[in-house]
Amino acid sequence: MIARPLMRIGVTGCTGRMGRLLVAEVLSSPDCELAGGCDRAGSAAIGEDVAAQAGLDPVGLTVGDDAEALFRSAEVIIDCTHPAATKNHLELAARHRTILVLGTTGLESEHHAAVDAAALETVVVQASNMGVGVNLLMTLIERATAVLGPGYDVEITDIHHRGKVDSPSGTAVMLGRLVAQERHQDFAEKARNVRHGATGPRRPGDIGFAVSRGGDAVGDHMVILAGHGERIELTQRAVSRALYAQGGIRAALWARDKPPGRYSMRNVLGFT
Amino acid sequence: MGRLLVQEVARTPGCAVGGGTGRPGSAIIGRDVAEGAGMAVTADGEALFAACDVVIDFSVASVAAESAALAARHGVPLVLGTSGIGTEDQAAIAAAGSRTAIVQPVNTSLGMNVVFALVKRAAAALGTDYDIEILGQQHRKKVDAPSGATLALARAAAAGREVDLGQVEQRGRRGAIGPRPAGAIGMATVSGGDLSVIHTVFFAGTGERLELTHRGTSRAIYTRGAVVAARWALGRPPGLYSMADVLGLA
Repeated sequence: MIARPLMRIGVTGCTGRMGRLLVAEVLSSPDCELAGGCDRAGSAAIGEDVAAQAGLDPVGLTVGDDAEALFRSAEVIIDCTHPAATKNHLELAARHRTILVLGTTGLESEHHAAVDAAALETVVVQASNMGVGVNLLMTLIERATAVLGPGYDVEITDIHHRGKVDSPSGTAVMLGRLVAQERHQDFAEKARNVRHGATGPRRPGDIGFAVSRGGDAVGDHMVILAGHGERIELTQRAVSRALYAQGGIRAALWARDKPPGRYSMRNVLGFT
Repeated sequence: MGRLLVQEVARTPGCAVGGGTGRPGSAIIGRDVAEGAGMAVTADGEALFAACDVVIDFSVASVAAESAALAARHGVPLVLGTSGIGTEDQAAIAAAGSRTAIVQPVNTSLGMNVVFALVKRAAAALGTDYDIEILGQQHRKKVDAPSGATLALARAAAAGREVDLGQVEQRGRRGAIGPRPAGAIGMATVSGGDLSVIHTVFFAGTGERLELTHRGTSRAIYTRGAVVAARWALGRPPGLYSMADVLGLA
């Protein structure tokens, strides 16, 4: 049997919190090699060693500011950066037929349209959350929502570290969308993001969000299904971001043999 | 539980209380089954099964086999919610199940049955990288532990992993017990307070944890489920059924 060549993975935003973890995971994975990393132009890290930026021994690859060069040289890019960069990265992936694992959160409908367009040319795994637990949670929520029916009110809580700048979390919104989809509801109409003051009684079918921010919490999500006399709570608590990076590598390796198209983390994990 | 079931049946559209029995010699014999129902509690099981379309029995394990035999003889479906039934009686119930529909729920709450199904699914998907622990929080008056629901959750987890619970379960940890064996399914119980009954299944992995929790705050969830099961059983072919069958979760 001929050993497969190592998968050459590039990391965008390689000096960011997720980027550094991704670099570390790629370097420690026996099936991968690091193609390189890039950061936004003007970053102080440009020209520094990619691995050193991640707190590891230098590997002789420097942080670049040319995303196109990275997309050209890598077999797959794992992108956990910012929505402002997403469209450009999707175009580059499509142009160079580079597999893209897109873990960036905060995507709007225009970004999702761009994902669909790029997926005509290359493999895009779009996953706001690359962890095993949250993706299994999604499967469980679909099942629970379908069986319990409209008599059970759905509320979603999210707890994250004090540095998180968007609320609710991308994962919380994704879970809410899933519930709305399962109930054939319009998510935008049913999402209740703020409750304050004399709100009046709960509107039937609402999907409520409650957000807490503090400390260094990596991220907890709880979906509550509240009925008469009972309540189900489905919770995922993350204490390490490494599991997201591991999920990203898993997605990259999975995507290798796939035809162009848009895929989810649940496709990767086989949770249907 | 019997009184709550009578109330539940009485307030369910399309259902009416057909009668009720109590233990021979009990003080409730001769009292009204339900206010205004115009019928008295008797000790005559035979007459009850002759008079009803379906019977719900949540009484005691010692009469479960007898209820099943009466159900079979009269061709009346039975919802048998009693726990703690012995092997011999269970065999008799299974035999009766070849002649009439018998629903034997571990727990009749809709929510808890959904959690059973989710636990099985999660255990199958996650594998043994994720340690499974079950915590039952029960009210101060409950006299046995772990609860039936805790054991049922453990069985659901074992079924998802395709292992025999007896081989992997861990209960009552204390002292220098050594590290956690790989693949163990642990059970623990806390007790206190009044009504609220909480069960949580933990799937504890590296860097993350999933928790599936059911909180019961009213016993109405059990009576409601029992009546759902009774209506489902009516007209069903003979067989021994679970709540998962009733709810389409099997």
